[in-house]
Amino acid sequence: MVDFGDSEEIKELLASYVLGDLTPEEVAAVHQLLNSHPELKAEVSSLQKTLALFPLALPEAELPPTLGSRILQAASGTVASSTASSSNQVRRRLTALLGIAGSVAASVVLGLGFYSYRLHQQVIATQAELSHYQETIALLRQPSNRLLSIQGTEATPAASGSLVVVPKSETIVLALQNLTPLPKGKIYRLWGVADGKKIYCGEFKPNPQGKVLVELPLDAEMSDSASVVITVEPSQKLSYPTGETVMTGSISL
Amino acid sequence: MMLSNQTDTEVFQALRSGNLIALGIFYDRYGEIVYRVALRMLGNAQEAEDLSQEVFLHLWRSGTYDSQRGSMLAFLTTLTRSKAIDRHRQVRAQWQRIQRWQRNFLTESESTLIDKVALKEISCRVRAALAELPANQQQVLEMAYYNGLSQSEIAEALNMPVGTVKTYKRKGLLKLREILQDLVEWQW
Repeated sequence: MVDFGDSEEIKELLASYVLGDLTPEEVAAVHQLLNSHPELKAEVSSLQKTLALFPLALPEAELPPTLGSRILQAASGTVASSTASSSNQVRRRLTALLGIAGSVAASVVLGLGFYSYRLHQQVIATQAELSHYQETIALLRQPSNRLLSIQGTEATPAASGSLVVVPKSETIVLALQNLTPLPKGKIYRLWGVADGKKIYCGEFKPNPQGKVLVELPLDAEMSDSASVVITVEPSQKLSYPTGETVMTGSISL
Repeated sequence: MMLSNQTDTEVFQALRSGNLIALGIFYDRYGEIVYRVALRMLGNAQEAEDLSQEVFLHLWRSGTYDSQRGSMLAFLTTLTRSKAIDRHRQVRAQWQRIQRWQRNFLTESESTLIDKVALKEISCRVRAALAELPANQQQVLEMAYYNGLSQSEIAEALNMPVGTVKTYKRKGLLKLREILQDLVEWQW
């Protein structure tokens, strides 16, 4: 029997236990100890959890692009354990009966499996997009909003849009169209103009169709602005505009 | 509610009823960490891919995961590790001995949703914690975990007494737990 001294010693013993470093006799002693002192099981559990976290220290790996679909493909050829019931037997019998037709059917099922997986991913993406629009519309319904209409300058005459200041949720909603997509390393920035000073309000990129719909935080200083400008800037952070002004806007109505 | 927003326990129920999407979701959540461990332990991409596939097919076919006995993350990393060690034949017998000895005391997983972002953050924390350990503690833990080496094999490889290896290992583990206490206590 191992002599269990103070708790530090027990901690060390349990750590060696979790690491698999004890002799069979010591392991038996630990099991006895855990039976007589069930409160020590929490200690073992937390050490096992720590060990389970250990491999997360490994550098992240790039997943091979086709691995996921290969796994699903392999899995679709077999059935999850608990469904190995009558339906499985029926299918097996059918496959035997239909022979070649059965394997065609199987590949159809497989194709459908992928299709539904991909469809599922699409639904997720669509739902995220939809909830973004819903949130934006909810913002537009808030009381005491202010609207600024925004127009492209001579550099981008086709660009247009609106900016809504939502004081209640301290947000700006910016919706633009016909903005030119920018090369890498460039970004659009929105600036509020108050007392002749330009205050940074946020940055954004248009989608490939040149459209923008973003929510930006409303700065307290910004709430006095009666006009805004949008400039093209290098992507590194600068607290003042350096690039060309492509759009301007002021309080409408 | 979308399956992809559900906890591991719920997704696992869907998997048990034969829902292939559930397997896709688990791959989405944990494919990278399984592959990460496989790659480190087997040392080449082809074998790591094979092993990752084996692990997810095991999950799919055997359905042995039990949330009463720990999180899906712990289940999958442990499974990957034991299957990788199985492939190192020379230590196979030894690993089986360890497995026979050990009992699992992991407590019921509350099944918090660990998505890819959370996994990234946890990984950063664990990486930083490991970096705080003295180099020799890191080294023996890595040799034991990833190479499946016994204390005496590590002692021989590093030319140090077995007792020292044992001490480094347990000190390392206890220190990691101390640094990562909030993560360990957090239900996952």
